[in-house]
Amino acid sequence: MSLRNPFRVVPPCEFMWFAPFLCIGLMVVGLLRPLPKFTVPEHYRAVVDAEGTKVPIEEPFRGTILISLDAGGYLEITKSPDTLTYAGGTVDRSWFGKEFMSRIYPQVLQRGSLWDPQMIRHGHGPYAELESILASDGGAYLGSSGDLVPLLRRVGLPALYTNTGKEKDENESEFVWASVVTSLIGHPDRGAAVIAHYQQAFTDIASDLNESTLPNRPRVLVMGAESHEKQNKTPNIRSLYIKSTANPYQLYILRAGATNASEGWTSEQPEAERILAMDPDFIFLMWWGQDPQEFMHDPRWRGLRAVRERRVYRLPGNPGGGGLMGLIFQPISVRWMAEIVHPDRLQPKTRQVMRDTYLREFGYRMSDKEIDEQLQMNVNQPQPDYGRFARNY
Amino acid sequence: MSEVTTAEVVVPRTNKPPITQKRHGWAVPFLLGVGVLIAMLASLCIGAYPMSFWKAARIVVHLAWPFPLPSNPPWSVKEITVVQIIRLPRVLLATLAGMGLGMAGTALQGMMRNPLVGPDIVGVTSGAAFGGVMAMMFNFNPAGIIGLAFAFGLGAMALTFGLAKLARSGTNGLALILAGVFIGAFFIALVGLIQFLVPDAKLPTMVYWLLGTFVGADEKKVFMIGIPTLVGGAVLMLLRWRINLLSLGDLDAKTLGVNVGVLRWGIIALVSLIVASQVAVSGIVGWVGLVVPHCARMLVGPDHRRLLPTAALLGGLFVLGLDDLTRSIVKAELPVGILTALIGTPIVCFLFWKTQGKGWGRE
Repeated sequence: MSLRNPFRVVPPCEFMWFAPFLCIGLMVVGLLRPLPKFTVPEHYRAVVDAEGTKVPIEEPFRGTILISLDAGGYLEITKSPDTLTYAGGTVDRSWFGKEFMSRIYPQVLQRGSLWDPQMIRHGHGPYAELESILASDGGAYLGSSGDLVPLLRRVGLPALYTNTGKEKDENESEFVWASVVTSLIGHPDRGAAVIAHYQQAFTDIASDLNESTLPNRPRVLVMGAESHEKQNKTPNIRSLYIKSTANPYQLYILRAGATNASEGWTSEQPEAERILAMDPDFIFLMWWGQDPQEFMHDPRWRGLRAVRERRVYRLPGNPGGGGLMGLIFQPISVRWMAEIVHPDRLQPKTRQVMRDTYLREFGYRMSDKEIDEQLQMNVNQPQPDYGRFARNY
Repeated sequence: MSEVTTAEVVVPRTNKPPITQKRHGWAVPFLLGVGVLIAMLASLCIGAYPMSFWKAARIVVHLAWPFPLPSNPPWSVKEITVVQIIRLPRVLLATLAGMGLGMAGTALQGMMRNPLVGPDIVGVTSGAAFGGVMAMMFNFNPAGIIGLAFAFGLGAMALTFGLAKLARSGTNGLALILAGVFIGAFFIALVGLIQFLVPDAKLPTMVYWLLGTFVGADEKKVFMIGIPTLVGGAVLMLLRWRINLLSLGDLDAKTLGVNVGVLRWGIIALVSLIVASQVAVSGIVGWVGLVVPHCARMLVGPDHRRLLPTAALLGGLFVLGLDDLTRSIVKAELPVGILTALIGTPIVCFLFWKTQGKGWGRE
């Protein structure tokens, strides 16, 4: 090959080197082809999602596929396990198994077709679970703000947003979620009923508290603290945690007739000194972490008023699962908190309210043992005034 | 003066007759080419959605075929969605990344006449990674990420060369490798600083990206790496016989009419572009540019006319195979950069042990 003419025709066998590159180049260009589109079904009804987009949902409805959403939260609002077609992967199933909803709807936990063991969820890209979702055969895809909903819509699949992330507070976010989800399954009345009960419950609490005549509003801190056992197993784990700017407990605390001791604090990982500076009247620990006795024995907290007066409680909920959150259970948590911070104002009604709520919403009769578990009686009972939550009070 | 052909200046293999090269003239490119294409099609069958090899092949052929798709295709909308949106971009991304790194490593080793050189060793990868994370921190668009990765990758290479020249031993040997290690370490420290400064919400994604991953591949990323790799690679391919001349030494190459300075900087720029585009889309996938050229050299010898395309195809096969492994061995999508390091380092150790005492051209 001459130095002066490097582009002289090469032997045929040299062309074989370039053939694979040509094929790869064609495949790259092939990605420019317009995406395939699913056609709009012949019979459908339009459902408006959180963004205000009208999404055509095929009739009859073939079921819901959840994208990174909690099956327990879906069942809470819809009370309709038969409308669920796909609930997640193995991790989601394990989490659901720890929630109280799995006792109310055990068939959801047991039905293997709802949970894909092949699904990979690691939160590092939108396509990790897309294949599993596409492999399911459902009527509509429900997701919160993220990349999968736009991607599904690009190919014409009926994907709905349950939230946009721009709602003004937790209340509005919950209301939108309830409306979208119940409209999807064709029972918007259920969403409206849940919202109505939610608002009524808080009206009742406010009336019982008679907020305008409260002499003071105690300062309350809601925080997480990992148990010593977990800290020993995972030395670098961050042991203290405060819900800060996006604090859903802010609503709880105000409605319980208290003030938030961590208001204005923006970081979620505080140092111990910060908590000492807050010096709250009451401390409510997250339901999954340290128990109050272990917390109070920590020498760092000796100086806190809440510790000296033994006003440290664990929030209600399942230690292995979730807390009492959401439209249906928030009023129970708020009443519980209000009874603790204003024991003189409120009659001990939390047990009854909890029992009535589960019966009304799910037709489920809670046993005393289950109520004790939810109220964390085993760890909270030694605290002052907690006897009011006991079954024989 | 008679024409000088490259066949006369290639170091003869004393153990094999010349006819051996002609006998294997078409077999290696044919087998490698077919192997890469079959591997790509087979990779399209891996995933949660069930897909047969032939169906995947038909879909890909129809996508790549520059004519309208059939009106009544033998595949469902979901199947073509899975191939076109999810799997094909990832397979292409992995293959192109491997090809780019294989070519980059081979060009660098040929140019610097040093078998221990690779994009990670000379600091290009670290520089490009720093550019990439800085672009992410300031929310640059994809073109900005590649641009900054390219600028810092090229800058890192230039610094490596400059530092090696200060040692007065030119661009060969220990001085170059040491310079690359120092520059690489410097940029890795800067990456650490960025990780410290970046908001908590962005940090896990950044760390995962830095480990080297093809998760989240889409058509934009494929184009981000495809255009520089295919175009830059095509130019490298056209220059491959000149790299043969460079591997003889600067004086000999100049004597044969090659503008060594321009050619060297041209290759450096092309390598930086290819590596920067790879790092911008998939993070640090290390050891490929070091290991693959050695394996290719063992297959086809040191002649860059065959070595460069072989390294490209082998690199594509290597990275694609590892990416398939990451998707199938565990359910947690192991970052491919971890596997390339775990597998690459023993291979380099083996090659180092095997070629001890032998010269550069005697593999």
